[in-house]
Amino acid sequence: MSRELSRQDRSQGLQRVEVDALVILKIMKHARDQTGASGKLMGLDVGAVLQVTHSFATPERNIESGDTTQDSQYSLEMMKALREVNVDANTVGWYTSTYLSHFLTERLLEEQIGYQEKINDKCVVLVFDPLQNAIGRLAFRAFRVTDELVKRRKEANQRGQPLGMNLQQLQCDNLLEEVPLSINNPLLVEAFLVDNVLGDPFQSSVDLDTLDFDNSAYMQKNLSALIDCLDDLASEESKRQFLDKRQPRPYMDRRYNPMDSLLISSQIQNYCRDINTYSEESMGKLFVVNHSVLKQDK
Amino acid sequence: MEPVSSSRRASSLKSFFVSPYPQISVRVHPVVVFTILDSYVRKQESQVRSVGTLLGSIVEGNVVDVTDCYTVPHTERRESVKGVQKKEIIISGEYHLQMLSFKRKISQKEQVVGWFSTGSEITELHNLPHQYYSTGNAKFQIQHPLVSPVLLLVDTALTNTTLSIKAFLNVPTPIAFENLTSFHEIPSEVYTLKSDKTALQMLIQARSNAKKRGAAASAPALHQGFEVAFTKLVKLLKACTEYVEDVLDGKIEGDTELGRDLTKMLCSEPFFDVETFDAMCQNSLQDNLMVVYLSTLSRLQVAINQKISLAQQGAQQ
Repeated sequence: MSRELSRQDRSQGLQRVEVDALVILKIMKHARDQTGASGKLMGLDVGAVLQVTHSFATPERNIESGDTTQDSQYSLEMMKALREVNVDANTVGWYTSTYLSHFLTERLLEEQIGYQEKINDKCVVLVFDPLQNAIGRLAFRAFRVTDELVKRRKEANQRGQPLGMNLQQLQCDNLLEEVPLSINNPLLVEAFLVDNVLGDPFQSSVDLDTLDFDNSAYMQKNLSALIDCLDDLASEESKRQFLDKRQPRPYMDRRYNPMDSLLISSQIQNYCRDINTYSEESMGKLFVVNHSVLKQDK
Repeated sequence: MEPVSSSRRASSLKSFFVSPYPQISVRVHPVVVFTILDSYVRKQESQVRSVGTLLGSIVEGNVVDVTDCYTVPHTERRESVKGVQKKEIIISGEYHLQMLSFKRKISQKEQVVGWFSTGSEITELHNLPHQYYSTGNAKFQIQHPLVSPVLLLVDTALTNTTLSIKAFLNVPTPIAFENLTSFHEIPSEVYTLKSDKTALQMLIQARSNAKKRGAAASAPALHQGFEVAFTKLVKLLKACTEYVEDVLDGKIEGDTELGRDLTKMLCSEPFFDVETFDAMCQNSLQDNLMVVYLSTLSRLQVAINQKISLAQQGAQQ
């Protein structure tokens, strides 16, 4: 029990994830080369800050066979090799690329729980969205699974149940917690930026794309994803109600996984968050433009 | 306007003339540059440089597109041959091949196209690794028109306060000495894809944020794109207006080319009268409001759904 407590204390210490510029670019490259890219993050755990200084891609996993031994073999050897060139060969989490914040899956949760339990409680998952990147936003977010969910997982393990059977009284915003993210530029990278990007008008003019206020395609995709999720939620609910009427304890029924509806709810909240930030931004732009036009008219 | 590429800038590197005949140029992705810089920072303390393999492919016929790279450990060996002191760089070929096989599992299309070294000039030290990379042992594959590996030299010591990046090719000389390599510089540039540009922009933003608040809080610079872009737009527009006014006042001579470009820009968007524009804005605003309304409604639905299921679970227990 005391070990349990000290573990929680340590995780409360994690306040920020500091990602090196190199890692940002490496992940973006990987996400460009293949969809659903994922890999490992390496770095150091320094007090309240988790420094991510290196990353490498892991091969696409064969989902049908679910064979993870090959995967871990690859990572192990890669880390050995990287240690030879003085990379911080210390796993601090993993990354995955996603479209439109559609990353909440049971697999992600399970994998992240595994990282937090087996490797380091401070491990994070870095989620990257290339689609948001295309409209001029750098879309990296860092998450870890809440201590509550880790605890539930453990209890479920002890009883030999799947995680979904042990989620009573859990709210959907209690699944993941976001960790603030900041970017770290090493000195030489700064030298490169000053030399090659700041001095070059062609390199730095693209950010004007963010000013575009008609990114309706992005909004449309987000909305239709939201609608799909709402549909899913409704069907999950009717399934639950149906089983509820037939049996007194639907949570014992294998046909219904309470995890699904929690995940979907969580997903909906994510979409709503994205939609809201995005509309706020574009309304801001509209007001600026409208105001300046009307002012000139007078 | 003159196209800007890093190769055209004044550089501190001692180089030979730019060779006219192999029509090959090199473009390096920022991720490669960053990896090389990182590898230099992490080199063995006793060593002066870091070296490694460049991966990439040939695109657009004659451009070597360097998309990835990795560090390879090396040792420096001193040897005296017939009384003459000689230094050599020995690359760990085993490590190179192992890492290559790892990279192959991720991406099939990237081939070995050459190697990199940090430093400001090419010396005889570079001969041996170059020979290694030229052979089949290093899995270098001849892809027309690239018949020999590229050497990328990155000046991490910032000689002349610039971080210059230069590419070289070994050109066969008519005099057939064994071990004679003559490196010729070929045009190179840092090639930034659009998505990478966004990232670089954010990195710059993170840099200025860190300056403002002290290095400790190199703050979450995300989602601030709008502000940055807007200030920039204002700045650019100001620069344009100033230029036009200066020309009108006769302070500087107008550049017809530039004038035409400006006119073209002004004419590229259709003009609206204020009312139409206002209506468009209103429409867009209403769309946005409705979307926000919908998303709030969905949130509410989720909240209610949760409350109900919690209550049901409570009742069952």
